[in-house]
Amino acid sequence: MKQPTPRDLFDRHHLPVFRFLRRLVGGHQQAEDLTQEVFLRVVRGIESYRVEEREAAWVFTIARNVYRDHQRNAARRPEPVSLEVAGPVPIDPVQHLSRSIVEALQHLAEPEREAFLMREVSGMSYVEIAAAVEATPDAVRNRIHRARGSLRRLLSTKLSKVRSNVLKEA
Amino acid sequence: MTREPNEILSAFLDGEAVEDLALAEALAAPGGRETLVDFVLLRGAMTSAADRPGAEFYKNMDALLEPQARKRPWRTLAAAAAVVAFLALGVWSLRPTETVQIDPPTPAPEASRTLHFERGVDWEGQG
Repeated sequence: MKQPTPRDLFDRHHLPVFRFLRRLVGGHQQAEDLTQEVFLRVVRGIESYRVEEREAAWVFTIARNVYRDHQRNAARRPEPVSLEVAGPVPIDPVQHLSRSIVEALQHLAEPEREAFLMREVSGMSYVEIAAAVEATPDAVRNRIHRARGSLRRLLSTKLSKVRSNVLKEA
Repeated sequence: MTREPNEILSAFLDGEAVEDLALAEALAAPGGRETLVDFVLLRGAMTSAADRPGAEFYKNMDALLEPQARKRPWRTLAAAAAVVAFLALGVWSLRPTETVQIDPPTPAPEASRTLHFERGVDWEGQG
């Protein structure tokens, strides 16, 4: 198998990484900055990448480290007010649900949130997620299941509104 | 291993292997259908085609990644050029050398004094 270049890895993984970080940090600009940092580290660390490793897992291990560094730095700074979250509330219940998820995600335990986001926004398999977070696929399945259950409880009102619309139309 | 119905629905949604009967039971359980619909709605709310970085981001990334794409060929070319130069130097140093024309030696000048050393004479003490 051919050793990928940083450009190959960027082309294949930048959107899942961006969406993963976007949901974790909330802000679009912050997510862009962190994604840039992830691929800067990919460029610097490409020599240590082995082809037999799972590509997505390797990139997401870096993304997790970047996010953790960001959290550590953020803990030392006063928290800025996110204009995106503070903006006008959308009328469309589906859009409303999308906005509420960002907030609800903050209530999940970190391992559950990470596993859930890697699955839902990045489309990684349980095995890939397990390699990225250093857990077993069974543990990953369990974390994702718990995350879905918690989100369902946290967003029950909004979900039932959208669900009843969907089931009515069906 | 026994799994709860919602866990089976969750794994099913993710394309993981689940037993047919267990899946049917999970869907038939009270609230099973609603649970699956909610999981799908959560997924739909998580992903959005518009959720992508802006143009400035791509410009910055091109600047970061393009030199990498070019750096390697340059390194290879530089290494190849060094090898060629080294070989050329070696070939040049081993080339057949030219014949140098040397003038015949000039005759020695005529002697102006002649010294004689005789056995038993202390020539230092006499001076």
